[in-house]
Amino acid sequence: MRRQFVWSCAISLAVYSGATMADTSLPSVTLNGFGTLGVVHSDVTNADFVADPLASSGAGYSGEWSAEVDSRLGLQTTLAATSSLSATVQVVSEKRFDGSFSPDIEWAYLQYDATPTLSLRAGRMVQGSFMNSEYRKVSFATPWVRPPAEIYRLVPVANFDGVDLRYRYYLGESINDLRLSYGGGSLEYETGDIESSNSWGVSQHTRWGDTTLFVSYGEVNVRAQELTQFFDVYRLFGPPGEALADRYEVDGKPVRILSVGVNYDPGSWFVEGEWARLSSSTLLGTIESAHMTAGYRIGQWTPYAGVGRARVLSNRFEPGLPSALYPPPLSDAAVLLNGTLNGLLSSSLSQDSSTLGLRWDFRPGMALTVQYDHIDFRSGSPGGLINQQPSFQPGGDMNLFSLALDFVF
Amino acid sequence: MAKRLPRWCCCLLFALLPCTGVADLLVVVSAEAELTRIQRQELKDLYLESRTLRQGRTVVTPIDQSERSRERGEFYRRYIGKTPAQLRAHWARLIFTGRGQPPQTFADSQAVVERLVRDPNALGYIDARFLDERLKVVTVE
Repeated sequence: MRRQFVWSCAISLAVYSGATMADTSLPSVTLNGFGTLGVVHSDVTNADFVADPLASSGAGYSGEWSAEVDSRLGLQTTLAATSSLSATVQVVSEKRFDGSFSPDIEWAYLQYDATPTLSLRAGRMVQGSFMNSEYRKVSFATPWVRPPAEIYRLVPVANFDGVDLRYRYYLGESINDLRLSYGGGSLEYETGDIESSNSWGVSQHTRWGDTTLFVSYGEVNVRAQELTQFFDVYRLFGPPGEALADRYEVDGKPVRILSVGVNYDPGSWFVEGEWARLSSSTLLGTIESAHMTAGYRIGQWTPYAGVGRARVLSNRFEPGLPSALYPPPLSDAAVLLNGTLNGLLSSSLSQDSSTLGLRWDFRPGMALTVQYDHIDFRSGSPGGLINQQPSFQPGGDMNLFSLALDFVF
Repeated sequence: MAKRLPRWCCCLLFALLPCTGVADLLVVVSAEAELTRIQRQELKDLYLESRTLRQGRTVVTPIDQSERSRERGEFYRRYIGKTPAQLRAHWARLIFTGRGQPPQTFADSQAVVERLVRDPNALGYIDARFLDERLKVVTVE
């Protein structure tokens, strides 16, 4: 019901905007859209490669080729009521946890421009954790078919419902945008949901000539229903169980995300690099990631190459409950719990990847991109692959071949 | 309107002046505007960043030409240093994160002239053939 409502709003605004687009007087309505039609092939046939870790299926096991990993459609409409007050809604339709493509609200906020350099927003927005986070779904706006997993997979909940403040200031020849945000959000998936609360972030974006610098720091409090239940079971095992639950519990502890990015783009070529660190005293541990991409523009063609790396710095193995101390039925349960805990610890992102691609901007607002990725999963990491079959062995490598048609209007 | 040159003459001119697609491209404002000169970086910021406030001075509204106009390609190549594809990607990043919309677009130089003369805060670029006494040329430093 809610989704039907979202679509009918979007469509009626689109129809309305058709009648008013040419008029520059206020109130005004603008409609924009973006999308990707993409196919990807994975050579790992006993698990599925997915771009969104919560999607229900992907490429590899469910099919050698998948058109569902990267394809999506986004529509955005902005209603400017006065020169300082506006409302924006963006809905995105893409493969979801339930296998459908039902649209979801990516952005929906009211914006008030207190001064030409200070704006306040309230509603649903996207955290600016990393350099390309806010437009990570607009594939046309980035060089790649999909943003580097090493960085962009670190944070599971990117949306939040809350407030943000943006302030633009000029220092010498540089243009700076400072953003502060605060809020919480939730995310459904097949067997539960993830909630984030009291999340805040501060990011600074500086453009100086051809150079862009990005720095961001934020804290998220994550609560995953399933994990809370899992640690509640641990707590039944007396003091040793409670100690383990306190050590790895996610609920009620902050996850800190720090990121630094640089982009240099003099026109005929570009290079972009980013480093990020996720740290927490929880099951999620501490991960450091980096990626770098460089590209060269020859007319309508942009060949590019990139490398990425993610490393887990915290422990990836936990001896767990001393099962020998418990009587038979409990000792079996302890072994099972320890196995699950270690499975979760070793599933953290730990990989090296290299990417080669070619983008062709064949007409305004449309680009065709081919991309090849080679990914090495380190030390038993399953690399975020889903639908793992019994024959699947973590820690291998994977080759991906992607073809994507991106468009904006 | 300028008299048409024979085609071979155009070819020759084109060969002699390899850097210019549009013979004379001018950055202009209304004759009533205060602005007389603008730095290249300021011009870049004006056309690439929405809601750019020129420090200590009046707010300047940039006026653009449609993607089909030859003047536009030349303007972005000469002053902004971006190809049409780069511009599209740039605006996609701003539009879909709610940071603004691209400058208002007009079909050709004539339409830009009509828009500029009505608003002393607007700035645009035109083919030199469309310059008249209601406009003032802005020096790009």
